[in-house]
Amino acid sequence: MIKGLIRKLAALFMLLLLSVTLSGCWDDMPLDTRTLVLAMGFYPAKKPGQITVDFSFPTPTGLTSSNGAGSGGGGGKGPSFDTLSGTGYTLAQAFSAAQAKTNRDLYLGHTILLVFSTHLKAHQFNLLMNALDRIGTLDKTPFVAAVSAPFSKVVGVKMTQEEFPALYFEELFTCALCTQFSLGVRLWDASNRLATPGVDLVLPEITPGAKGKGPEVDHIALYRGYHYVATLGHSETTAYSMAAGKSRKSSLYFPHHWHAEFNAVSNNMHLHVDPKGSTVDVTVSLHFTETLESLDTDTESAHQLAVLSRVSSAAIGRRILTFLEKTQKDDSDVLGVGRQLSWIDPTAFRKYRPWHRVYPHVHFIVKTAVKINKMGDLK
Amino acid sequence: MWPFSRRRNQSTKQKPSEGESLSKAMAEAAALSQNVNTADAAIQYTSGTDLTLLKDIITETSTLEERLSAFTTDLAGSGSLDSFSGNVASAYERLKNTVGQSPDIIIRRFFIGTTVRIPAVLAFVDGLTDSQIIDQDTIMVSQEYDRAYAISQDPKRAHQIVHDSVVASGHLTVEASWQKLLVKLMGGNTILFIEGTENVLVVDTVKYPARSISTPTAERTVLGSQEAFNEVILTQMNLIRMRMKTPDLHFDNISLGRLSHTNVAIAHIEGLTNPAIVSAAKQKLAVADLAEVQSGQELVPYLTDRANTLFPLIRRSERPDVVARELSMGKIAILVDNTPFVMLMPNTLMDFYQTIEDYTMNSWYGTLERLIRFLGLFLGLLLPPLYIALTSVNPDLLPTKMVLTIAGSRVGLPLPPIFEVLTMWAIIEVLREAALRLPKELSNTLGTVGAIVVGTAIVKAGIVSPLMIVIITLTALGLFTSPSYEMAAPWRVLFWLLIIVSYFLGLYGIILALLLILGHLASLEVFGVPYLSPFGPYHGRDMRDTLVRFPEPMMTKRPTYLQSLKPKKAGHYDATPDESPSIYQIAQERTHD
Repeated sequence: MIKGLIRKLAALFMLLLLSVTLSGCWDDMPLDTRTLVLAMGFYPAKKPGQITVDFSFPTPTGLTSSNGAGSGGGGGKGPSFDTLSGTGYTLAQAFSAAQAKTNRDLYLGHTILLVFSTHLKAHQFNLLMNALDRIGTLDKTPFVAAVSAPFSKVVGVKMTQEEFPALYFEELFTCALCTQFSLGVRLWDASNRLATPGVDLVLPEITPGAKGKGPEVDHIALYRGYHYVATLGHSETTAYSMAAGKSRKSSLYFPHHWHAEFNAVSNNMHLHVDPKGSTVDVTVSLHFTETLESLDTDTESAHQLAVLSRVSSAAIGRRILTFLEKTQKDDSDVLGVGRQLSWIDPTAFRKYRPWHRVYPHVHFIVKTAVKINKMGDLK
Repeated sequence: MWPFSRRRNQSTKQKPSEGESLSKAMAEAAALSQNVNTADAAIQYTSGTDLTLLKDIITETSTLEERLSAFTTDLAGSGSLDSFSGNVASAYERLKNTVGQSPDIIIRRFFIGTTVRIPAVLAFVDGLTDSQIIDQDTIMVSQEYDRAYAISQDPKRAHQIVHDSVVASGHLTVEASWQKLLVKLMGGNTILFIEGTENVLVVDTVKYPARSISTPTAERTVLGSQEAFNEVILTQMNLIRMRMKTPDLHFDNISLGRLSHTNVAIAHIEGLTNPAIVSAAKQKLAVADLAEVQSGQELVPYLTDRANTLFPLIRRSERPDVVARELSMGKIAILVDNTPFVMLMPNTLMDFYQTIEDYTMNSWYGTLERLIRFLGLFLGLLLPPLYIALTSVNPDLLPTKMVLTIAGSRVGLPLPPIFEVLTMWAIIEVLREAALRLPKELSNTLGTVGAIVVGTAIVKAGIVSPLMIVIITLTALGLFTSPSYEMAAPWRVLFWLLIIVSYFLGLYGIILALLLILGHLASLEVFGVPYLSPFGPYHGRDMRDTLVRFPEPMMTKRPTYLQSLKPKKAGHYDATPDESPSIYQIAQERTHD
């Protein structure tokens, strides 16, 4: 009986011991003692080989004003967010340097935006991505963006729509001319593209807005591996969104065809890859749906719709083909043609090594089909 | 002076002054009194304490002497100390010197008959009896009986004649054992001794002081019956019988408590309830060696094997309609005198979340109500632990905007989340306890004052966050959504456990604690019925009356786990040996019995 009791007590002790040791509860910190880092910026430092990491976080003033008021006061006047910087050869060194400037734990568990300077060297970008992948508290869901401007001008600025700048970039990819696209890239997606052969990274780029306005996210930056290649204009950004099948609320205007205007242009894309000898034929099939918003005639006819469908299809096709030819010149496989080839024919893909020498010679065929929803249709 | 001595003096004053035995007794009393006075004079010079003690000893001794004298008479007449000898005078003395010293015991001597007068003694407990039956239906008709000559001719049959031709009460029994007679006397019966016969008539004159049938307070309903049990077991039986007119409804009576002799009845429906459950309950109660039974709760440890568990294994209900419904399902009910709550068993966890309200409305409403109850339970049990875990240990699991909101509400607070919760919960418990003890009118005021003043002031004082007020309010409300009061208690205890583990181990700890609770629940059994039925072991058919309530026509069978002799609610059913060997065997045994 005593033996049984001892066994039970031993089992209970082991259970408690394992519970405590496996949970890692000894380094738990209450929310109050943490600094919630919402955005991080990665820039090359002045000293060659070093990087500077900026951490943007809300201040107590910002926290209390964001939800009405706190309980025990602590509000008052002051900025709603602040930034800390640290410099080092590695991310860990930079982090430690920044941590030394505050008595609270810099907590990365709620980071929602990571911005990478376009001036970062490829090996620095590579180093940072590897380090970010290894940070346990940082999950893989923050949005990733490219910047050419200083951190203080793109993330460290007061927003009109959000209390904290990082929240502004949480969901949106805004574009003054091309409205919104689903072009946001998360960390896991960026890591995936960088690690996968046959596809290159595309990041939305944040640029400082005009005076008195917040920053803008209205074009994208192309990468070749870890190398920054170029930043696309509005028109090319729109073309990319259509080519990638990510168009959601684009608009089209045809002044020579009854001043027809389409909005809510959305599409899906299918990529067909056909290796042929030393080159590869790629067919990009796009199916568009667009809503006829206005027409200079009061009512549309079947003929008008047929013409508009044909015209818009041809226009979109030309635009996308031009865009793809540009990416070939930049040697940035943004659609992932090589990846598609590796999926359907890994042996053939291996023959085309290195892919970046083949991609500029790929033969693109763009097929478009447009369906017009007449004005007044419910969607 | 002890009360015993005072009563002794009172009873001496009430002694009748006629009759031969009476004169003899008077002479004895006078002699005894003289002895007492002599002894008293002799001990005048002893200390005060000793004097009191000695007086009591003398009184006790004289009482004992008279008692022994009565015992001797019975022993000489019937050959047994426990049997009445037929001598009314000795019965009178014996009663007077035992139970008769209590002022609520009335002992009355009278004669049966007008021409021939047969001595008789009658005893009853004042207040527990119906005086009309005693005065008119027993004493008056006996005194006016004009054929007492027949009794004098055949004294041995006197009780039979009085039983058949004299006493006009509905319920009469015959008893000869003093031990049983005294218990019956204390239970409100009137015992009638007749000169010459060794049999004593026991007239059922029981009329307990009782509350009227009031509306239920612990199990209220809108559309259901508005009757609740009171403390009298007979009324409880009546209320059940009103709803179950089947002759198969049986009440098996047991008397428990060496001192209290409390009536306990096991109600079941013969031919429907699994007899194994009935006999198990009887066996368990039979071994309950208790001095007194003042509440049904005292029997619970004897009825269950896991009396030390936090969770209630026996459901108690004050509603006759609930008891009737559960009996019809195949359960048993235990009625305890002086307890207005009837115990039902065997139960599962789900039984504690069912109310009669679920069945008085349509199934959609019943289902919604049940789901809300469980939602309330989970909110009440888990909200504060989750708050602590997510703010102290696992903040990365919260959406960013919510983290910012929580962090904003906690700016400047001096206490960590766990102390915030403990402070608020302590306030809630104190308010609850205070409201429970106060009169109803005051408790309402206290609740309002507590909720508004304390809640607002504590936030203004910067001790807790406004969010905590919301969480604790939901917790307090959620934990009391359980329709069964006894089921709210274990969750309130386990709440503390969850608070502690959530602080140290976060979500991992909460899940661990919930698994432990689930494991414990799975290990519980009541009369062999798993507590988590029908979820574990799984009985798909029984799920129709658990989290959701199906319409009544779709619930055609009784719960499987009760192993009822009639699994179908309607229609004829005979257990076959192939279908259920155990039930078939039990049914066969019952038939042969």
